[in-house]
Amino acid sequence: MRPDVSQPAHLNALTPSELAHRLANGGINLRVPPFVMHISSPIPVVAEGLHALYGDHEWLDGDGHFADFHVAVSTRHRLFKKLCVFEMDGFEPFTPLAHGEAFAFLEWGMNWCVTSHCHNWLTVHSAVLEKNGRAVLLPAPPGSGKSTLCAALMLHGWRLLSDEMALLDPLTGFVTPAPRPVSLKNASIDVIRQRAQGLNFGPTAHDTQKGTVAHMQVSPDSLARAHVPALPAWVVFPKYSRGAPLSVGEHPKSQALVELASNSFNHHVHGRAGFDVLAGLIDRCACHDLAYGSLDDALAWFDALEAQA
Amino acid sequence: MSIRCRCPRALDLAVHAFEDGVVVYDEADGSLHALNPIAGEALGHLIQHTGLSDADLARLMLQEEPESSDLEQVRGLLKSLVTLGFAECAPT
Repeated sequence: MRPDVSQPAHLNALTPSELAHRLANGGINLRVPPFVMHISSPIPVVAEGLHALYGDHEWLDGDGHFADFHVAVSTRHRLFKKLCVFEMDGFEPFTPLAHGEAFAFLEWGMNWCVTSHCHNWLTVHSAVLEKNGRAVLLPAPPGSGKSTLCAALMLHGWRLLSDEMALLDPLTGFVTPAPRPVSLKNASIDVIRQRAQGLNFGPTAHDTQKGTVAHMQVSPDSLARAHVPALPAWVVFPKYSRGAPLSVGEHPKSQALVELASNSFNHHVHGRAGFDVLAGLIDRCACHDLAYGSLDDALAWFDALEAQA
Repeated sequence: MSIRCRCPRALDLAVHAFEDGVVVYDEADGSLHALNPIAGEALGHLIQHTGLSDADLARLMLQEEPESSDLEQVRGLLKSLVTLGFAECAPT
């Protein structure tokens, strides 16, 4: 079907079978703020995931649209195994994964496209959310509960800028939003599913290197305001421990700067200017350690933090 | 024996001070180093001056005439900065 050209079309204008057909025959252009991605794949689970999670994203129908990245997830047969490969402009940066991981592979591959090529931003491995104009960065290693907390905060009314990467504008210090589905793992999938009224979940990939993985749709407000950057006010280092009481402490700023830099994908590309950007960010932000065992306690603490500011 | 020290690569280093410590960015290799506030202050003085004796540095940091125990501590600090490649020292 061809939508009314006067209005931006969204991906949910396509039925699942139309989407699958287009993905397998030339691909689609999808606005994934702040980028346009050209995506192709003959694999049904990729179409399923895109239909479930990107339905409200702008679909750029027709030829002649510029795409920042041309990505594909294709099938590869190895002996008796059916695998999938991620490609960007025909280049395969990763070893193949199990066929059932194809949608997750697309998500991970799109992350890689941004962190490996977009050096106009200083990129930091961190979730970013915003409320009332102030953003919080959650840089944390795997297993810290970052994505679970990020998803819960989004469902609690915070605007998601990203669950994976802070795109810092080196000139302004603002974070450019890049709201994409939130990647959830293992037990946190069900924990968040119980809270996620009205938001879709994508296909579940089992037995990945990260365990079981599923993605949750970004909130409508986060997508609608994807053009609005936000200035960081807080850097919070979360640590989830089952049953632990809420505990908050000041995180030393010098340590926060070193940790933020070590979580940056490209501060070395920016050299001294990149260091100055990160140092300026830490100067402006309050830095906290947050240990928690209850999501509701953590959400209440964030409410209080935001109210105090 | 008194020593005289300098920062041999002052132009390579960017220093950012916080209340709880100092972070040094080494532009030569992109590395970051966290120093405690006292070591950070010492490095700041070495970067600002073309050369300082241990006694000069102690005076700048204490804002008064140093005692022998102060000088010992400053020499220990300088030794750490030498190890990190942020200082070069020679006997005077």
